[in-house]
Amino acid sequence: MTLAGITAALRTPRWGRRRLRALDPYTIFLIVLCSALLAMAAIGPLVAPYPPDFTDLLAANQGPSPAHLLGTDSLGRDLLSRILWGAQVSYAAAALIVCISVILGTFLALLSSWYGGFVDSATSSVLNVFIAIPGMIVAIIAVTVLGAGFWAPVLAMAFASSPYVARVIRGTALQERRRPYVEALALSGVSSVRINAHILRGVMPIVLAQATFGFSVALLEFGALSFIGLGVQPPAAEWGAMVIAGRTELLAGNPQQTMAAGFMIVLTVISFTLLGERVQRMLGASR
Amino acid sequence: MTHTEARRTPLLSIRDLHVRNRVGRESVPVLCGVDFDVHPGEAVGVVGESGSGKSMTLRAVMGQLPKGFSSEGSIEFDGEDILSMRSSRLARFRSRRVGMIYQDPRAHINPLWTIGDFLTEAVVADRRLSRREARDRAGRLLEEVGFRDPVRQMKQYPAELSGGLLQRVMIVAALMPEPELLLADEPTTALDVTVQAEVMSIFGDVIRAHDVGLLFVTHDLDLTAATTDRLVVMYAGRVIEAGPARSVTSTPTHPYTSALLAARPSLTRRELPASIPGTPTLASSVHDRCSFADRCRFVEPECVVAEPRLRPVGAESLSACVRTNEIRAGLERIAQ
Repeated sequence: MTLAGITAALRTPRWGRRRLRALDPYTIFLIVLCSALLAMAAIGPLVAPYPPDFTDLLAANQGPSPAHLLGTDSLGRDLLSRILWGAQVSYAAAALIVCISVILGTFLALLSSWYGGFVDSATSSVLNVFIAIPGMIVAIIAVTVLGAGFWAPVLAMAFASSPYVARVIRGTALQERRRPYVEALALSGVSSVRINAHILRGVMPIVLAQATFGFSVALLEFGALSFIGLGVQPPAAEWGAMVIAGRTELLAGNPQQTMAAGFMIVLTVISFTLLGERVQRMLGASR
Repeated sequence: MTHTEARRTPLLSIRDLHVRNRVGRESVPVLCGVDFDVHPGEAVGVVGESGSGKSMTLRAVMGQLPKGFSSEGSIEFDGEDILSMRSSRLARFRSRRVGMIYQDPRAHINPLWTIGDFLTEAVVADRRLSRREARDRAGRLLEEVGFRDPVRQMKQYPAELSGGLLQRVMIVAALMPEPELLLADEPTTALDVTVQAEVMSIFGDVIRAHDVGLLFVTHDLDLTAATTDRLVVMYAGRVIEAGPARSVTSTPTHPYTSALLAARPSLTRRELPASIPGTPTLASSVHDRCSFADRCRFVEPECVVAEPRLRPVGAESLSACVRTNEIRAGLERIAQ
């Protein structure tokens, strides 16, 4: 028996440099970019040169200068500081929306794929009805009922986007559920909860890709809510709110606030979307 | 319990098992009166061509008939009828008393979990062993089936093992809950010929070492005959011959078995294997006649008036051929 020989040849590291080398430079660039954006949000308040609401009316509407690297807004607040502080609010909102919607959506997907039949068709029909209602409208209604701020739009948008997540993951979960190993597990007496853990592990790539995509969508939509004044209220710094606040100064020749906040939103959305696409393609190829 | 006593009470006893599949308004027979026993510690091979009902019999034993299939008769395991078990009892039976080995190990093991997780999961979830005990047991069993370094192997993923190694892992998984009966559904079909022989010898070793019964479904006559104590030959959803493996392969008592044996390729003969004329008979197309009559070269008018029952031939064999005694001499001549 040449068992020892066969097993020796299989001695490959699962993690470490080899895994990293398998990534192409483009993906590495996207990972670094997204991590840098997240790091910026995490340590932003520590490195910001001014407090976010420190006003200096004498220095209002200035362009970029050594004292204010991105310039100041109409109240003389330092834009770089506000961008850094605002990152936390914007990213926290987007991350919360993604977390809640992905957890809820995945749970619904596993539930309906596991039970199938009536449960599946009932869940799917209800979700289709919810998909027909635009998330923005749900958020606007939530704000009307609960008042503007951080939590009302976050929760409303999380619930409104979970049907999309559920629909995508349900398809993959159904595929996974029909694989022979699931039946083998059931026959060997493993509980359905444990088997669903197996299925969850199988659909995890899709969940991750969905979460990465969802992050940029959530950021954009939350920014849009703040833009129309239903999200985070001034004087708190938030990118969407900064875009609208700077709008009045645009025609006066002071585009710095709108441009800085808008640029950050666009940069985040593009890099997370590209990364999500990349993740999905990589995992798709390995299947 | 003495050895002879153990032989007398079967572990698994299939009696007059009928399975029917409902297709639209019609009910199509799939198994028609399957009848055989597996004794404790005994290895029984079920052979037959595709569609003869081998796998369906196995599914019935697991209580896993596909939707739309109904069964009659009885399958008794240790005196208890599987077909009438309630679902919780059936789940206990499946997880504790039988071990299942599948044809394609790669499809039946979650590729994303390590071998160690796969082996220990069911017994740990069943609270029969602690995680540590389960890992120890898995390690011992892995060593028994030929793994040199079980601790390291248990950290590997299925994709890192070859098909033969993975089938050994599957055997270990089936043995984990200390079952009394192993059910194997064509466990060597997906493997290379050389690996098949290795896996079969492992089967032989483990059933002796652990004193488990084995119900082995395959269409490879030679492989089965080498490992099992008794052979059951199925055709068109019926058992047409049963007996000690050696006597079935050396002196078959049914024309179908003899034709099947003649259809094997051989290393020593130069001529082509003899194929059986005609096409396999469907279980549903047989009414009051011998299922093999259309293809049999010994067919007589009496073969097509009533379905022949299994009857004893010699001391230990059973055959469902009306002319068994008459043509046995002739069959022996052909077999040589």
